[in-house]
Amino acid sequence: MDKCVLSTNERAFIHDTLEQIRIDGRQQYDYRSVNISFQQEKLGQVQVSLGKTKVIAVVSCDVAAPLGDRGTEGYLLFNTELSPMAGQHYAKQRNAQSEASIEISRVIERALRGSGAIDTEALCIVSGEKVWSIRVDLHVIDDHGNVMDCAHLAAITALLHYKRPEVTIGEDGKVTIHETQDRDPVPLSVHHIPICVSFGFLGDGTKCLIDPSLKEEEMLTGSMTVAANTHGQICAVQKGGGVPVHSSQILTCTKIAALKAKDLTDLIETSIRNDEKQRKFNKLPAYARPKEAPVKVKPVITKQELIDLNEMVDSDDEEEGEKDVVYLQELFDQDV
Amino acid sequence: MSKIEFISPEGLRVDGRRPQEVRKINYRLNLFSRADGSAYYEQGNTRVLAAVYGPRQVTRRGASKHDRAIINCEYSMATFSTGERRKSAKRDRRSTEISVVIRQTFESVILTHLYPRTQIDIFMQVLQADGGTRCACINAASLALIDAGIPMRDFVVSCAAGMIDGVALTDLNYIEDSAGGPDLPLAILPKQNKICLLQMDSKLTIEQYEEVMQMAVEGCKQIHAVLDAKLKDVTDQLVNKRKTLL
Repeated sequence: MDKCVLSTNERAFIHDTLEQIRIDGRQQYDYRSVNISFQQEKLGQVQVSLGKTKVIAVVSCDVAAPLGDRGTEGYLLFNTELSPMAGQHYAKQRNAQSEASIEISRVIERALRGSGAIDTEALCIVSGEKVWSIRVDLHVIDDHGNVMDCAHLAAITALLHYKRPEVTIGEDGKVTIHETQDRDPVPLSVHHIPICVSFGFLGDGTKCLIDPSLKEEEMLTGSMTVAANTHGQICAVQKGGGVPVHSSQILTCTKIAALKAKDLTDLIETSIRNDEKQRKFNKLPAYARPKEAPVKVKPVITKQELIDLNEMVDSDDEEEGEKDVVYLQELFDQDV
Repeated sequence: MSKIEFISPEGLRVDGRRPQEVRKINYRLNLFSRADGSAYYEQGNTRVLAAVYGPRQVTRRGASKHDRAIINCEYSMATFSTGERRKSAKRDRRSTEISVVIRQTFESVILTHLYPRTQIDIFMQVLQADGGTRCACINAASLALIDAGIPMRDFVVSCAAGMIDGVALTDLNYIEDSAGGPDLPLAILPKQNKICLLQMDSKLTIEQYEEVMQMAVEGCKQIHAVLDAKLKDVTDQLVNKRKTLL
C-alpha cells in the first residue's frame, strides 16, 4: 500500500510549480513550523510537531551491566514505533514497516551516539559492573512527511530535558539511587546538539528541497539526511540509495544543513528554557511527584530528645510537666 | 591498552599501505549452478559472496509491481566472519539497515522497468570481515548482477574512507575502523560520476568532510579500474567460447 495516492495531475502540478513555490507555500529551503511541547508532570517526555507530522519521545533510564569491553561507558538505546496510527500504510507490511523504523532509529543513533553528543562515560556508576542505560522511545503518531527530522528533534529535545536520578556510592561499595524527593535529579551531559536536516531529490536529482511534506515525499526519487550542529560540524550523513547525485550537490546540501541546524538549535534551547521558567513559576518540582504525597517536614526535635525531655520533665512539677509533654507529643504525632 | 600508531612517521598505515591506497582486490564470477549470477569478492582480508536470482516470479503476490521489477536484498554476516563468533542474529538492526540501503542503491541503477511483475533477489554473505564489509558487498553484488546479465545504468562501485589523527585514509580495515574516527562508505556510478550511497558517522568539519568524500570517490575509481580490467578479460573469454568474435 502506498503512503499517499497521487493522481497524475497532482504530480504534474507539484512538479511544475516547484520552480516558483511549493504546494504549501514554502520556498525550496524552508522548514515547516516546529512546535515543541513538554509533559507537565514528567521530565524527558516531549511532543514535537513539524507541520502536521507529530512524534512523541519518552526518555527513561535503568541500571544495567555494561556491554562487552566498554566497561566505563553507559549506553543509549533508541527505539522507533511506526504504528498504524501514524498512517494506514504501516499496518500490515511487517517487513517494510520494521525497515523504516530501524532506519530512523539507526540514523538518530549515529547522530547522537556516534558523534559523541551524549557523554556515555558520564553514565558510568561502577566501572565494569553498573552503568546507566538510557532508553529513548520514539512514537510516531502522525506521518505527514519527514518523520526523520521530527523524530530526531523529539529525541534530542527529550534528552536535553531529561534528568536522571542522583547516585551515590557508599563506603562499602553499595550504590544508592536517590529518590527524586531526596536529591535533585541530574541532567545528562550533552556536548553538542546535532540536528537532522532531510533533503528530498526530485526527477534526475537536480531539484532538491528541504523537509518534504506528505505529497512531496511521494514524488521523491531520492533523499538524504544530514545531521549538523551549530559549530558547523557534520555529525552524520545518510543517503541510502535513491537517485544518484553529483558530489557538488551533496556539498551544497551539507552547507545548507549547517545553516538550518543553527535555527533549529536556537528553537530547542529557547523552548527548554521557557519550560524551566514555567516550572519554576508554577512551582512545579524539577522532578515527578504525585500530588497526594504529603510534604515531609523535619520535626522540631528528635524522638530521643523528646524522651530525654520527658524524663527531665517527669522529675519536675507534675502539672506543668504534663502540659509540656502533651504539647511536644502532639507536635510529634501530628500528621504532617 | 597500548596506543596503536595508525600512521607511521614515514606515512605508512598499520598494514603498510599509503593513505590513498586501496587494498588488493580479487574476484571470481559464476560460482553457483543454481543462481543466475554470483560473485566471490576479496578486498584485502574482507571476503564476501554475492548471489543474484532473477528476474523471476514474485514470491509474495501482493508485493509485485505492475510497471517494474521489485528488488530484494539480504545482507548477512556469517557467524564465523568476525574475530569472536557472532550470535546468529540474521535480522539484527545493522544487517537490516544495510540491506535496505543497498536495495535502494540498486533500485535506482537497475533498469527495473524492463521486467515488470518480476522480482530480482540479491543475497550477500560476509565470510570474513576486516572492515568495509558493506562496500565489499556492494561491489560483489554489482559483479553478480553483471554475471546474471541484468541491465544496469552503470557499474556501482563502493569504497569507504575515514579520518584518523587528521589524515584522510581510503579503505579502512577493521583496526582503523575501530579507532572510533569518522567512517564514510560511499558508492558511485563511475562513468556518470554521481554518488548513489553515502553514509557517515562521527564528527567532521565541512572541510574535512569534503576531503574524506573526495578520498572515497578516488578510492572508488581505483576499484573500478581493477574490476573493469578483469571483466573485459572474462567477457572476451566468454565471447571466444561461443566463437562469435566476428
